[in-house]
Amino acid sequence: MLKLMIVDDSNIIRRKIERSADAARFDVVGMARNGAEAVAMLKRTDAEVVTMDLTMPEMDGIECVERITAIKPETRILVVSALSDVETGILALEKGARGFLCKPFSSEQLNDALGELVEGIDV
Amino acid sequence: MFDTLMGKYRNIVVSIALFLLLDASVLTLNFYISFEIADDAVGVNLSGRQRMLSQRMVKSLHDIQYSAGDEQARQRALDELDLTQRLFSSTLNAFDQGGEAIGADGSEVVLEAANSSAARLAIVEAKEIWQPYSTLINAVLNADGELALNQALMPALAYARANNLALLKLMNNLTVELEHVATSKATRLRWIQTVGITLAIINFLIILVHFLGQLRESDKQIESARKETTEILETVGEGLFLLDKERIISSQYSRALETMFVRKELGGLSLEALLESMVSDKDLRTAQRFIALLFREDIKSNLIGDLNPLKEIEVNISDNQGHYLTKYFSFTFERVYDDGKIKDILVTVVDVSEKVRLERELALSKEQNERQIEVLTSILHANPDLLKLYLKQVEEAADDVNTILREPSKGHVALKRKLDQIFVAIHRIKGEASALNLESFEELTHEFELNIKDVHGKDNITGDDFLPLVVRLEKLVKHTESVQVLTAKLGAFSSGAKAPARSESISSDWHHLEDLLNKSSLRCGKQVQLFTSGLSEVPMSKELSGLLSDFAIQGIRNAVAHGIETPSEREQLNKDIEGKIELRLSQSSKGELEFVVKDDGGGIDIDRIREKAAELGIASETELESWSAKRLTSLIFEPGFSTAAEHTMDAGTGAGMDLLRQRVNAMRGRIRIASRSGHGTKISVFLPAPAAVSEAA
Repeated sequence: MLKLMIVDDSNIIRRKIERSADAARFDVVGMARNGAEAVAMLKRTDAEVVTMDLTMPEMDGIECVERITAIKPETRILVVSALSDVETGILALEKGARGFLCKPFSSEQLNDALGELVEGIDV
Repeated sequence: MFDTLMGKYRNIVVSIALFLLLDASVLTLNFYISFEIADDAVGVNLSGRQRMLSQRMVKSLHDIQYSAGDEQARQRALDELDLTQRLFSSTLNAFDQGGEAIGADGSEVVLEAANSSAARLAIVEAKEIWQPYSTLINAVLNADGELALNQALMPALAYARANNLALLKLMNNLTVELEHVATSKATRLRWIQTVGITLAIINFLIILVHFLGQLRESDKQIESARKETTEILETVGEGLFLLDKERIISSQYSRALETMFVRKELGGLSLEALLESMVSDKDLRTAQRFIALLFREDIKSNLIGDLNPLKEIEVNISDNQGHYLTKYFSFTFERVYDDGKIKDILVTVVDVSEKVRLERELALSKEQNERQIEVLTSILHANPDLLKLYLKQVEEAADDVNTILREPSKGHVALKRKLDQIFVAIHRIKGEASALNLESFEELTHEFELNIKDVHGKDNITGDDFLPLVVRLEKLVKHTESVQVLTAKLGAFSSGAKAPARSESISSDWHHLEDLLNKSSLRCGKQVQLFTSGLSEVPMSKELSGLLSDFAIQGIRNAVAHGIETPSEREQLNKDIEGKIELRLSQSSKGELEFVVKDDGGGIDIDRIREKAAELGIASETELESWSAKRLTSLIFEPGFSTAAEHTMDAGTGAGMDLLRQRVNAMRGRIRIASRSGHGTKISVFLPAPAAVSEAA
């Protein structure tokens, strides 16, 4: 089982990811509403996989990706965001995220992306 | 890897190993035989010396004989004899049994025993002769005194004379035989060398032929692969090329690429150089960053396709005549791996201009179709009578507005009043459009309102500012006419669906309120449910039902826009996510009608009304502080008063409530508002008995 942390300011999106993520592979260890919560939660839960929203209050996704990568570089981060700004998406990947999933997404798309993201991790 | 290498080159490796083995054995044999030959040469040399020694021994015997009286010469001859007989004897022994002998230079050499039959024969015969000869010579050498010497010398001399020639011949035979052996060995060596070299040459030729054959075969394969690649690149319709890490285009690329970019010799060019002046700098920079991501091993290429900035990019290409063409290209990027590492990026460029053009045309025609369908469905859905009435009202309103616009007036204040009058007229038909679900009219009137607001907000209004309003009015009139044409065409439908008779229940007309609610709540991002009761139980005139309907419309719009909270706000307040609006019509025993619009939203925001009142300058802030909630609430009915933060289609224009109050007053009715902060708002309209209304109307 891989420890999954969900970071999104929208309650609906958080629940959707939690419900969609393949329960046989992912153990949702935490859900954060903003970057600051996510960084604190990462230290506590030791999450290996993170889904990351980009536009959030307090600490946005970009800064959060940077922080997480600094603390634990092997964390696999999947940016889950709307395609309104391609450049922000690219910036997140430059800062250490590994993939990008466009909102809105289906459960299948999420699981495909997560599967691709965690490829190569020993469980 | 070693296995595959062995598999591919096994023949060559085996051939080379054979070649080396052959060389090594020839060399070893050569080495060995040449040593033997060297030994044989020593033998030949020493056997030759035996011939000389036998002669010298005879000579020394004679020298001894003739040296009588010369003691010195005699001793010299004796020494000579001693040396030669020992040398001859030891050499003969060495030839016979093998062993040490003294070489030509005085050093010791080891001789192999001669083993050829001819040599053995010569040696055996020589030994037979030598045995007695050697005894006689020893007697000479060992003789003590002149007499004894002379006595020993005679038989020795006699034996020498008799046998020396035979001995000489035997030694000669030995020499010839040894020479023969050596020569035959040399011949054998030459043969071995010749055979070895021949085999080596044959081997080499086999290797050469085989290797050249393989080389030619692989060259052929490479050439045909290259030809295939070239053919593919020549004929393929897409622009294909490889990009390296520095974003340099590969030397091989498809012909189509040149055609697409109207440019030749693209190999070695950077992607930036290819695209500059065709796409914006921003897109180019984003593309650079995107490609850099593709070269990063830790990023999953399947997970970043959405970020490709060149997925469908507008490019401006100048053709050979210097004309600019606008095209749409779609770039896709695929990683090319070599030995598990990302080596290059395969770029595919497709001209999607036609697709984009078709998509746009499709979208445009879809939009037009939708608009037409929308108009059509709204007409079909609308109650035919109400629609006709509405169209008539729009016409009247348009006439009114036209009249207002034509009226000559001067000065900021007068023009502002004119604007207010136009606004009231337009706002009314907007509300009705919304209630009848006539989206096209709703949009047109909404835009009209926005336009009026724009002008209203100006510091110094002039006559020219009314020009856009004239255009708006024109548009509205045109649209009304086109709908009238459509309605006429659909006459069959409307005649089929007979309008309900007067004084029938209005329940069939209330569903438009549901539509209104759904649309408004969707626009405001809220979830609201409508509950109605008693609406179909009271018979009423069309005028009365129109008023109540307008009232309900205004109430619903206000509740959705101001009163009811967003689902997340409601969740935090521990309220049901879905808000409620209740419409209730009841009649007292005296016949008085009570119509209630009630919601469970946040109630009327008195502070916000106070702020707004202060902003509008209705009273000073300190005065407003002392106003009661009731008095502040009554401001809602003031013309032009609005509390919405922004002007939307659902709220923000205060004219609605103002008009309603006027209409209720005209029917001798009254309005009551009750509001509790956090719990909701209830607006009640009390009207005299319907019969009385009919009389009053």
